[in-house]
Amino acid sequence: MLDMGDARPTAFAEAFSAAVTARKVSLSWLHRRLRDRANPISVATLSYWRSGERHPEGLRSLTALEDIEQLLCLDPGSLLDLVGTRTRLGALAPAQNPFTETQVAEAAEETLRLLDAPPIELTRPLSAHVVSTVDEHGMLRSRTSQVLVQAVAPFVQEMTYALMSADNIVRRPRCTLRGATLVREHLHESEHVYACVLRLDRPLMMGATTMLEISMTVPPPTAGSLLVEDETAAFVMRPIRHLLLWTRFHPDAVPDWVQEFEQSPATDGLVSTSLTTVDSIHVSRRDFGPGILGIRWGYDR
Amino acid sequence: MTMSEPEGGSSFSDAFAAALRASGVSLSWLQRRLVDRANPVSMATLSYWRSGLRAPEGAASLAAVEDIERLLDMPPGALIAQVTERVRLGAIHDPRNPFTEEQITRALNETLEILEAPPLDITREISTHVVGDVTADGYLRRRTSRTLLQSVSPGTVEFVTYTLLSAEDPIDRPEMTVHGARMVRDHLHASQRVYAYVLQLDQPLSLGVTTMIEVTMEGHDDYTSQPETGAFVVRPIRDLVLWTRFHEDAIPDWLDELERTEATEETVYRPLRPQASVHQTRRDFGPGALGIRWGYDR
Repeated sequence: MLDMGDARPTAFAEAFSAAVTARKVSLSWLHRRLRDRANPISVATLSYWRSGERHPEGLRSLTALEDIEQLLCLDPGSLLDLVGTRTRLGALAPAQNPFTETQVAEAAEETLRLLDAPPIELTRPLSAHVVSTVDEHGMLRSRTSQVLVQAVAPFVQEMTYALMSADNIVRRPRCTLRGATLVREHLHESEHVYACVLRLDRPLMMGATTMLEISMTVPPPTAGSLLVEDETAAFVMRPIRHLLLWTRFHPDAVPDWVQEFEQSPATDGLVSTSLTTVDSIHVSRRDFGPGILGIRWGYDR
Repeated sequence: MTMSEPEGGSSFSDAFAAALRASGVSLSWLQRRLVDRANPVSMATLSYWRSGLRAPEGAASLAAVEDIERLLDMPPGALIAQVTERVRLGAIHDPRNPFTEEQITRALNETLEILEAPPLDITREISTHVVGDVTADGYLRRRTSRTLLQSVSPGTVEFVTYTLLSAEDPIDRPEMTVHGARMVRDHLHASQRVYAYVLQLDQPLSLGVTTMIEVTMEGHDDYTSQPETGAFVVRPIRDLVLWTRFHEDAIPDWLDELERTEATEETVYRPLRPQASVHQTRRDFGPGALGIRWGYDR
């Protein structure tokens, strides 16, 4: 637990109470609106916060503060700032790298060290749509991830985004970003890990969220390589509310086989399932992870 | 509700039992996989389905049947096709059009009639991300909506209807790019407050089956006073994300979030701080509308 010391202990309660009064809303109204936003805080807790008998602590409370600021028409951060670093992280589940293969785990560690990258787990994705396209040769051409990201550290200005594959080669992508800029990147020599460090357009206080779009164009495999299969996937180190992968194949390159693969606390290791081959494949999970979800495809030729 | 065949067997239970035997998996394995996929079905229910004492009913069960087909390596629809029209749609909420302004509702009905459009409520959205881009002139020029869509209709869904409504400003017919479906017809109502189009899905959906659709609209004509963007759903959606990105020269002087659900009764406007990037998210939202509107003091 970190201590801040300088902020008056009643500052949060005073600001919260004043805002509730100014907006002429009831705590039960606020409770219902927070519940709608998947941030349920009991009326009793809100009441304790207003009276100063308790302070928001833990990730769940801090997440709600961002919504409370919006609902009470306050400037972003105006309540979060008053809670500051006094807050504890609470019952946040420990982050887990789902890649347990030694070779990949070591490559990931080495890549992050070379990049001087912030730990991946300073943020967590809440909702992600990953759209991939496959070219006429059956190889991954592009991968665009739209992701709602939340800070789970007191202050996040830079974050790390990584691609990993245990079984296939990761090709160095060309990245286009919205919501952040690329500061440095590295493809590990094993070609199993690619990582980049992003600077967010707006730094995030703990619990605050932002949207990011990470578009990657993937070059075709180098001539002479014997790639006959490819994959696209996503991994999360903490549970994500909604994860959706949509892969669109060029009409001349509908694969002969497609497998969905998944590894999560709910599966016994890596589990593969055959899917019907069509030119558009989607897989989605709710409340998924920590884990890996992806599809792999190939051709009999 | 119609009862199952009294003999205790049915084409669904036969197909399900055969697929279980063929794949060699246990019901408890299947049950755990379904929980992972957010389609929990109890052991008892699965057992009833296998024996034919009960048949899948309700949208949640049908979503689970779709997953069962995948988990048992069956072709899509192999089990769903055996679920007969006895199916009830379970706890699906009655669809509501969140816009109650009489004029718009009338315009919407007229538009749907002219288009011979399939009803809005034969599918539901499970997860939608809407991304809008505002150019230097302060207007929304591009809007991409990506949706995980599920059929909640007993028949096969081949066509779906999408609509664009505006309470405040005339709508111009946009340029559209569609993935996962193709546009077959569209209509802009004479009032210019309603635009609707009918899409033919690349893969027709039986009950409970999901698909992805992406629709990108690009505007080109002159715009008038009040820019806004948003989304509305006629059934509850699990995961809704709206993201609007403003050109750096067009960060608004004011910005309101607008929201309407049954709980709010009328549209609620809530000021947000204008920034280059504005996102709104809801979980288990609707029926309702969510969006933003913005403006400039100059």
